[in-house]
Amino acid sequence: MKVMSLPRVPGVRTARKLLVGFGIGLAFIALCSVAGLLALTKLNAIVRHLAIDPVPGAAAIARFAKDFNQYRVLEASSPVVEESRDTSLVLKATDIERDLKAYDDTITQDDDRRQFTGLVALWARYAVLHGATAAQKASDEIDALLITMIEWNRLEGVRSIRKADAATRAASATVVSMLVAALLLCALALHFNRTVERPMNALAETAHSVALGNLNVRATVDGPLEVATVARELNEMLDAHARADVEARTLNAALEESREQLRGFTAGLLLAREEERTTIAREIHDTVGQTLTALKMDVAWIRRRLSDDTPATVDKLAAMVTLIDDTVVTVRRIATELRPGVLDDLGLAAAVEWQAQEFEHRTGIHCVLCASVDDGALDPLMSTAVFRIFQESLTNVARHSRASHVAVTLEHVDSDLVLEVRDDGIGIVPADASSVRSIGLAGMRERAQLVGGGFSISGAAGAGTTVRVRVPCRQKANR
Amino acid sequence: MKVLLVDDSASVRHHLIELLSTLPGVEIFEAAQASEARHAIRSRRPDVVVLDIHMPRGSGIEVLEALRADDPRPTTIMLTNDPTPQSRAACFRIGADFFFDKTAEFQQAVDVIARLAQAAPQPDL
Repeated sequence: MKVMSLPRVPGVRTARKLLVGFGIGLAFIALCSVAGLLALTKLNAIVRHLAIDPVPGAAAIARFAKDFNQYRVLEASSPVVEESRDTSLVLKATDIERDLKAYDDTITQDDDRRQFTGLVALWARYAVLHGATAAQKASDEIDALLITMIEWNRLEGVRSIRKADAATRAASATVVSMLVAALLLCALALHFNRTVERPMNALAETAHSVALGNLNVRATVDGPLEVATVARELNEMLDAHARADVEARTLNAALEESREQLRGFTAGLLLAREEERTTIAREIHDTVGQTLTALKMDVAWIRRRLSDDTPATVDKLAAMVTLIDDTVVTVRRIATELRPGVLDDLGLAAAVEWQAQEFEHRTGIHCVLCASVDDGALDPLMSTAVFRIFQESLTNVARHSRASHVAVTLEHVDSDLVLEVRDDGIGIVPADASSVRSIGLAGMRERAQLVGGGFSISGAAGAGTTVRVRVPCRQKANR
Repeated sequence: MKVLLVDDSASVRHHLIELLSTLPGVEIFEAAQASEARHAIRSRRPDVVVLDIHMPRGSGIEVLEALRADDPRPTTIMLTNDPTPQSRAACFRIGADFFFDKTAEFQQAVDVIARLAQAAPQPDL
């Protein structure tokens, strides 16, 4: 198979790109989260502060201004009872002191502290200068300072609201940023799904189909560089496999055709050989055999006309008769070995019986035949195949088995004719039984297969060998 | 007595005719193949049929089988150069009266025919 080499496109690997993208997104979200937390903490502090006392100093300074005015009104009033007015002034002064104390508690800034210190000093001076002209000046200064402080506290309220607004904006911006980051991550995930996950899933499905044996599928070349490369290489492999498969099929078809031709050639060869043997056997029988018969008849004719007083001639004629008889035996043996006439005249069962007897007579191996077939109408091709396999089996028994008995059965099994030759010899070794180098066994198998039959040989050490041939019981064509 | 000789070998037929022609009261005719023999049997009604087994286009056994249904049936003498025990048994099973080896026992066939001719009623002259 050709090794495929695909060019690599230079570029940042997709996995690294994705990693960087996710890293940036996560860092951004983390930063936004920290900033948002800080902004929210700050906002929370402001809101809490506003909830407790929106502008604490303003209320205290307003109460001071009111009590101070009431103090001055009381002071300027013409009392019915002098003592009562003094008591009221003392009480009001107490209220003013309480107001100052309340304001003092709200001070957080230095300039506010300075103003307050000034106010306390002015109040103390005013209280000391009670009724004097200088007190009027202190009173005016207190009024002026109160205006300043009230304005300062108003502005402080405005500043607090602005701070809250800024903190709210910062928190909102953070939330919006987080939303944007989340959306970006969603988009990234979607992009990842479309560009990486789907092509990878499709590739995985294709690979799974291939693993299940479906070699006709092809992967979609899509997605990131690595996935597309793998898909392309997988497709190349599948294409190469398909080409190899086609080549293998072509070769197999050619091989099968060649085998078929060889089988046909073998069949033709066997048929031609059988026909040739039949022709030669007939020729021998018809010419040599009949001529010898005629010769012997001639000799007999001469002998009848010859008087017994010519012993030399009579002896010569007797020698001729012996010679003719010996020659007839030889000629018959040759003709029968080529093609036994009993096979053509009487059929397979008679031929098998004759061959078994002849084998027993020739080898001394006891041969028992059990034939229960009516083979009169059996196709000569079948008869010949079975008979030749039988002859070869007996040859093997005589040559290799060291058997003393052979049992032969010829019977119908279903619609088939079955011949079995079983000996009690040393038994064929399984390796020899399945060996392709045994020409004899290969020929027997081939003969059986050529007539659509089957052949088997089996054996066990010391338990003999069994040859079994099974052929369809085809009837001969009517002539 | 009419004797039909059935053998594909003209030489063998010739020699047998020579041997049989010396017998008194024997009328011989011949056939070279199975179909010819069947025709001759139907048309001339021989008393004795001498049958070879191996012949081109049909064997003597087929002729023997065709004779089974004939009544009266001629005496059949199988005379073959392939005298296997199987052929002998098959021929006797089918209905042959005698079975001889053509080369070794032809004289016995001639002797059987001679005896049959002696026993046969002589035609009125």
